[in-house]
Amino acid sequence: MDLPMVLLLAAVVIIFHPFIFLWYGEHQKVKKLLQIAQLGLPQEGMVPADEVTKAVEAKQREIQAKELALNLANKRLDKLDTAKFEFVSVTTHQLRTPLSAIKWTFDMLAKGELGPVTDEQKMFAQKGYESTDRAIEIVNELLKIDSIQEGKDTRANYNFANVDLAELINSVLFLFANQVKARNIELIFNKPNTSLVAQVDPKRLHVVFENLLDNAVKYTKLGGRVTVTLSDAKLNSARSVAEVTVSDTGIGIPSGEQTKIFQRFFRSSNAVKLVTDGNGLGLAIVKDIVDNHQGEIWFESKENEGTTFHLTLPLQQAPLQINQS
Amino acid sequence: MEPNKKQTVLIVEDDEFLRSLAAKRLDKEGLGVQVAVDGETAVAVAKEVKPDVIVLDLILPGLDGFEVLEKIKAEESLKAVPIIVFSNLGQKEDIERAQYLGAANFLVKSNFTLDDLLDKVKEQLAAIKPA
Repeated sequence: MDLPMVLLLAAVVIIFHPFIFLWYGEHQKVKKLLQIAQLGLPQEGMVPADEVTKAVEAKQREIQAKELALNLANKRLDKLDTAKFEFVSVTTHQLRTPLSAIKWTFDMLAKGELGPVTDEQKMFAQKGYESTDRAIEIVNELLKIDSIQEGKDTRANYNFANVDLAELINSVLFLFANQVKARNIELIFNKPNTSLVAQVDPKRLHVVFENLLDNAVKYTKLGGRVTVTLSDAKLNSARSVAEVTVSDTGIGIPSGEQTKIFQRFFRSSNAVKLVTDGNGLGLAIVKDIVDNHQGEIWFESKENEGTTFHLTLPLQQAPLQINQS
Repeated sequence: MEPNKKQTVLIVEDDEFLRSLAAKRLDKEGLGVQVAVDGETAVAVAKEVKPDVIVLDLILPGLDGFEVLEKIKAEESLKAVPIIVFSNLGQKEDIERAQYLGAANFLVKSNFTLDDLLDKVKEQLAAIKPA
């Protein structure tokens, strides 16, 4: 090789060396991936020592590759979680604007500020105002999921009062009267003969029963049945507890998905198929509120047969335990 | 202040229906009402009419409510004008930010009625009686 040729080659190497390194790097990565793909499990039986080492190395590489994939997937999920939170918060804020308009209009109508009204008209406007206010409260509850995530909606924000549970449940059932009728669903409420009063946050507990009934009605076929049972069967001397069950003949929760049902944003695959809209927050909110009442919630479910949610509520709220150690 | 000069409230709100309802309610109470539909107009109208109170939405096209707050508080002739934030934002951070920027009050629209708003406006007007 003569001198000009060598110089030329040297120049080429100097100019292109970053690209050569890049190419070499990529090449090595591809080689590694191919190795990972090709080296499977070591064969059974006696295997020479160097083959064992090779197989172990291959396994290690496989684990590394899986770790990498998992990390990536995790990052993607985190992003998705954030996006969903933004979605919830934007939609709820935007829901508040039209709701404000309706609420103000009803309020002005009811007060006669938009012209004289008869007593009957006033009554209707007042009812419209109350319904809108309830819708706003639900939106506010949804917004609270942000606080729940950040651990802000603690028991300290709860307003506990002595409430007749049957009355509270009846006021929730009333909201579903039309929906139940339209879908020809039989709605049954079993309650004890004597009234059952518990120390609860009535607004938050209202949300609990609303969410449970909404699910039960929404996911039950036409002509199905939803049964709500309030019982004092669990009353005992140690700690008096009321139990409520909400039972439906709906689509059920697939057994493989049952552990995820209280997770935020989780919706079971058959639920998504049946009702496309839904945020997957309802049961997460329910669980949070029941926990804050020192209660318990669990369920049994069979796909295509139905679901029964059980929840227990202590009649008295114990003062918060302080760690003794 | 001349006895028959109307006290003026500037309502900054981009939603047409909310704006007209709020204007109607304050007008009925004998207050002078000026409106602005976006941030830029709000600052311009405020400079021109020198309102006694400003009712300010936060989510606005163009300049948002926080920026309007900043601009008005930076204006020598306007910085004493009390500003009531009237928005559907209402997270702790939003309230703290508005307070920090000098808002006199913060009402979440959907949680109040226009009568409540009127009370707050009157409260602010009463607090700025001329010396």
